[in-house]
Amino acid sequence: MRWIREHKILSAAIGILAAAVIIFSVSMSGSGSGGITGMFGNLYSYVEKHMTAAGRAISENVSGIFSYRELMKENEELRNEIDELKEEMNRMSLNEEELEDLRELSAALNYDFIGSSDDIVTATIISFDGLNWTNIFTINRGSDSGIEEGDVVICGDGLVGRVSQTGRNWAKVMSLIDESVKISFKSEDDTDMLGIIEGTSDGELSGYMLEEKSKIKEGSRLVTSGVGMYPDGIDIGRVSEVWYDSDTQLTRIKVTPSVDFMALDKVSVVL
Amino acid sequence: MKYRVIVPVFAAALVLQPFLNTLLPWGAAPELIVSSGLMLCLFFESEKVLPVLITGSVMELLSDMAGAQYAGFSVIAFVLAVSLVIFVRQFTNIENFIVAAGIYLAAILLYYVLIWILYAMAGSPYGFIYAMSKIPAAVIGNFVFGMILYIIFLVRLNRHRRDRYFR
Repeated sequence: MRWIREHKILSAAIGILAAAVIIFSVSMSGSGSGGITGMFGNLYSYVEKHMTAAGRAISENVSGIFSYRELMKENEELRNEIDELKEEMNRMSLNEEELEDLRELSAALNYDFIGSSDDIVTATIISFDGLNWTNIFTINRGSDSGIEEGDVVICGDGLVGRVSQTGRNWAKVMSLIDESVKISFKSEDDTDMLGIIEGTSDGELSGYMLEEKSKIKEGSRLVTSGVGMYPDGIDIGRVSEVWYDSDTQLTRIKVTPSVDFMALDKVSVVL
Repeated sequence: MKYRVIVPVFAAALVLQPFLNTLLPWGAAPELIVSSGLMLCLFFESEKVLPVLITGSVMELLSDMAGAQYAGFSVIAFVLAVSLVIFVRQFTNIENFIVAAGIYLAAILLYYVLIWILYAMAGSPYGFIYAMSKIPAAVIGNFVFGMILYIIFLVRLNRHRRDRYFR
């Protein structure tokens, strides 16, 4: 006790470190995601939501001032595009027969993991974890909206990742690169070409083809195969590099994800 | 340092952090709690920084619980970075800008390296080189924020040089 009184700072540092190591170990084992974390998460997500919205609003307005010319140009291009789309929309109208064909095609592609609009929840990202090299973020929907741990997260560009923790009004999402989990894929050009990819140490995706001499090419688009935790047909990315590894006798690939994780704003959770 | 001062300051930093993260581009937002904690420990003698260490650790834990994948890793990195500053300041003249900036920068880098180590232990796939290639903007942000605090504290130190508050 006397030693502790004489070395207050050192004792406090050792005590805090010991407690933090225990908390970190419990948190790594995944058994500490409820309780206090949930309660604080519920409270903090309200604050975080508003602070992030304020920051985003200022940031967008400030960047808008500096890129006024670009915005005007983009605005003009968008106006032209809208006009073209309007004309195209007038020309196109699906008849009953064409609609039936598309339904059949949808079933054939097995893209039916989204049964109805009730199976999907759209959420806004309220914060990233603050580390520049990871892609872990919190969304503003949680168990209240039916989101559970392990639910698949997608966006307009493709596969984002999975829900790793949930609270009442928040959920943490881990990107497919962060997860270091093997993902089974197929080539969109030839669905017989199957392979496995996972996150690499340099923030990309890499993997191999199951066929020894696969004909996969650079630029091929990859989608999930439906084997494992991810549903079938979700866009993963494009092959950026292909080479044959004679040691393992496998065709290896590097993939650029179709999703720009740092530019994400809204995502959809498949329930 | 008194808890009635430190707790509101660090609580405000915790609330403002997501605002700054969104506001500043390229991930250049400073870690408010870490930066201010390190600067306070650099300026105040070690007997007086206990509230900084305890309050900072609690706030870092809350920050982990709110936004990070694992809880507690920031606390470990914060305590070790602060300990480095407390230890080194005994042998240096912190009124020298280059010395103070050097200690502060070393502590910030130690903080990020420790976080990478703890994440790697938890199974994160990112390599050291890749992770470190992503932090220059954050280090610059932390450095600028830290130096603003340094100037504020130094002005105060010079004004009250004879009151033996800073030793």
